[in-house]
Amino acid sequence: MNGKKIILWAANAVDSLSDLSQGPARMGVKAVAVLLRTLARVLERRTVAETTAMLEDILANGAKPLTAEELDEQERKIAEEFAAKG
Amino acid sequence: MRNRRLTLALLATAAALVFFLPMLALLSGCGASAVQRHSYVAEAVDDVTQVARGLVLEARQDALRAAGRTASEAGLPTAEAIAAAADAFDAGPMVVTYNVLVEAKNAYVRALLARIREHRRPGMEELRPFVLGLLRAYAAHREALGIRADRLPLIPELEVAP
Repeated sequence: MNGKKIILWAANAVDSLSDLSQGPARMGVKAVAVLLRTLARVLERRTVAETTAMLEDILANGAKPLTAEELDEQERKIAEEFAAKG
Repeated sequence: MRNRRLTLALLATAAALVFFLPMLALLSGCGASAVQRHSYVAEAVDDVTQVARGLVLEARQDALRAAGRTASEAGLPTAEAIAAAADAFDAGPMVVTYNVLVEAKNAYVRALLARIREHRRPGMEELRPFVLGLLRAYAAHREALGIRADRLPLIPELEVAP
């Protein structure tokens, strides 16, 4: 097992721990997992073409702004939950 | 209360990233190219925004459920209470700040891609749209907090910039 795999394994373990915490503590634990993943990435070398593909992937599949449709859908589901309970 | 703590944690993490990520990119760059160093930053920022997205949606869900429960206990229509809570949450600091942060991240990635396609070496100036975006997120957060924003300091540049 190389260093990168060990760090990724640790990052996943820390991420799992975040489910046990709440609020700011949860955010902190998740931030540690992000830092570990960043460290793992630093250990890998990429070509410019691979980096470009990765950046394009971030734009296409990375975190997106919250849309009105998405927020309306969440609201609708919760309203239905309460309506079902009567 | 929990929402406010989460918001402040989100803001504190974003603020820490402004200082930490460029530093990490520079420190990690002993053997890496400028393109690689920037890609580490871009991926880390994307990871953070993915985590933030989950937290914002979770906090919104908690707020809507709390409003539904309160209305249900008081014998009031739950759908209206949930809709009102949703409107208040969406105009609040979490959704507003998150959306500005994501735009900042995307602006940074687009600036990087443009530099790479021009076969030019990316420099620290590519971080500019991201840092400016974070400042805009801070301003939007401050505004969305409303009266509580008095507790947050002003950033002088933002007060004079259009």
